[in-house]
Amino acid sequence: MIILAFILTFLGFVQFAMAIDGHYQAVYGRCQKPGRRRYLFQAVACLHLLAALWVCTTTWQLSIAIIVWIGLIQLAAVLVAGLLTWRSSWYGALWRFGCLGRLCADQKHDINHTPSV
Amino acid sequence: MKEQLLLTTRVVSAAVGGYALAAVISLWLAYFANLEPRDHRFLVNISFFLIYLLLILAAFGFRSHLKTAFAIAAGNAVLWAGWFAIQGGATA
Amino acid sequence: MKGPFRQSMTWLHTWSSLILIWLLFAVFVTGTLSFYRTEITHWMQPEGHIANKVDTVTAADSAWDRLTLLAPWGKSWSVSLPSERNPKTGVSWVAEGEAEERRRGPRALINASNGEVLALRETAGGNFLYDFHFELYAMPRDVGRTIVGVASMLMLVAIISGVIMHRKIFSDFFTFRPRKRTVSWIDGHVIGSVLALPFHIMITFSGLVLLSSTLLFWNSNPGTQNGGRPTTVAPSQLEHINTSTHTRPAAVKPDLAGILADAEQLFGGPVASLNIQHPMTANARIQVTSATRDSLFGGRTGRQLHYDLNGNRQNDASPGDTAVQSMASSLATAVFIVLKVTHEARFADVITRMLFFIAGILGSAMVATGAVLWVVKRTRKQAGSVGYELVSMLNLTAIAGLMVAIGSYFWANRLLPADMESRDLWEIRVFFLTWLLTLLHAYLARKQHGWFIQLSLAATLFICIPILDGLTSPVGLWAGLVAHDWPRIGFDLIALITGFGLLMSAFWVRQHTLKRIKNGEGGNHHNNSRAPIATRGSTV
Repeated sequence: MIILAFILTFLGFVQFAMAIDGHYQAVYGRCQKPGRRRYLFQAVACLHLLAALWVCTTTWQLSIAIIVWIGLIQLAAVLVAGLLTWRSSWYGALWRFGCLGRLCADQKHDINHTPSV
Repeated sequence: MKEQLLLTTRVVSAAVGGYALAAVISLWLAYFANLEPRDHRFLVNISFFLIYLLLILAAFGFRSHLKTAFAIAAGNAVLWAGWFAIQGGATA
Repeated sequence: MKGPFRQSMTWLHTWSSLILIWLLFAVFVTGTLSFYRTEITHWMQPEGHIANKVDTVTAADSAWDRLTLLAPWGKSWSVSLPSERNPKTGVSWVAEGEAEERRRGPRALINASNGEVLALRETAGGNFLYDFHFELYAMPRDVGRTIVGVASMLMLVAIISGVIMHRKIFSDFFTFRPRKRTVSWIDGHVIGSVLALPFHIMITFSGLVLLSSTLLFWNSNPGTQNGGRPTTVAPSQLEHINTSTHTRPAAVKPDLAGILADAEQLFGGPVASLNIQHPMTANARIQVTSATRDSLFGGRTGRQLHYDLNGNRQNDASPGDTAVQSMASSLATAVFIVLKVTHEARFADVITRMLFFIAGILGSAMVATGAVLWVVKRTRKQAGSVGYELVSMLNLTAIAGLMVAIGSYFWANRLLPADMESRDLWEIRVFFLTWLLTLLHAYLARKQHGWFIQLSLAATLFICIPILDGLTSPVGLWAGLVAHDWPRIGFDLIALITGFGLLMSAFWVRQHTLKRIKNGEGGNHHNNSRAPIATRGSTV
């Protein structure tokens, strides 16, 4: 269960990063900004984190679950930062296939997207 | 040279004066909270460090070195005088 | 001060953190290691590695039998059962005529498979690191605690002023730009601080509150005093015990298996310890304490149940329950308990403890990168000035030198003879002597690849710890792995990882230094005229 909680926090931070200009641009190219979608990304990221907290409460009593959750969040944030720094292509892939990338991508501007037509 | 002296005054007054001021404020706070001795002690301990922190941050926010030092000294004088007046000198 | 608030906070952040940054790093590192002090002590007593972890019933039976030989007329007995953190079984007793002493840890440890008392070497153990992190060493307790307290308050000020001064805290959240000079160090410092900020604030604030009895001397509890802390009985004193058959006639042994089964069922988890009042008498009372700490508000120990000799549960309200109620009687006390328990992490299971450890490492990285950042930012302008050189030297000895000292501490534990007189003191002396030597090295030869040398030395010490462990323990590494001695194997693993981290840092420093020399010799003569001529091999 803790692995599930960790994955949720990890994905949550992947979402949070997309709301930040610099990291959005790393995936979709310069001069792109997430714009209003930023709030959607952040909302979904929060939901991920809350879901992770809920998963923690199934294993631990609430007060300890909160502490474990905070610990997971800290670890996940560091790992996402590392991913963005050294493996930004993996990050892009994770975003596109694992998170909202498929739904929200502005595909015309996606530098890695090859037109299907 | 004078600037250094004034800065030192601010630093000392934030560190030492701030300690005393945070102490007396947390004592006043706990006085009004009116708790059992054990809870009273915990409240003083916890609030002290929060108040001391805020005082230090504030002490380095104001423009004038001297005015800050004076404010801390004045705060101490007023609150400690009041405290001793109420307590008769003994910290509960 | 003279400028906008953020600017004042920047000034405050720089100076409040710098004054005692070297001490803070040591406190943070030893504090982080303290989360695993039980495991560290287990590693540092290799004679105990032969004691495989047994099930609770065997351990309790074995301990009971041993205690009937050790203290047949004793007033009380205690048994600490094997756990994930320590596979050995501990026994303590108060013999007739003895006064009850406050003790840290059991009085003797036994090998539950055969009931023999383990002749463990005297060691300072993980407890030295734990004590160091809040009261230092070789000074009166209150002096050490005051110094650490002052450093902690400065740390709290540094953390909060750091948050205030950081304008783009959210947009820079994941930013790390490597291969740049100052900016990379800034990014590293920010990552270590911001991403684990909840932990840092919690640990610093709770640490301060825990030191209140010393720091806020005017608010102390009348009547408290620190008792002595006798450690495990020396092996020499226990020599005769394994052959003793002197016991008290007509003693009844309770059905420990039944009692433990009942308790485990009610606790919903394993039992941590037993405490027996008036053992070997008809009105013996057995108190069973749970290992499960499933709430932050549970008090010092887990839930407790009481049994008599016949295995009947006593229905009196366990002191634990009423204690919980009275403890949470007000918000202030509840907050205090949360602070104390989260700082000490007594409740932490394997995963939680690892998460705390990782956060502690991030905190140590925060302090170290901060110290280095101060130097890197000022190299161009201040190289050669007293303050700069002093900070550079202290950085080397406090960061790399401390790692060398810790590595030496563990090596001394294994290399000093097991029966040496006061070997625990000598382990500590090796720690401090090594640290002092790194200071000397930093003073004399810092600019001749000082960082590379010390980091490599530390890396070697740590990487070779598993080898050292395998060679100097009665139980080999593979045997330990097979026996699932996780505390010991985990220690070796973390030492190995730390060693490789240090090695990578050492080579990074070397590469970076060589690059700088190459660039410096490219005709760029902007060097500050006060800078020493022989700057080969120096980066910071």
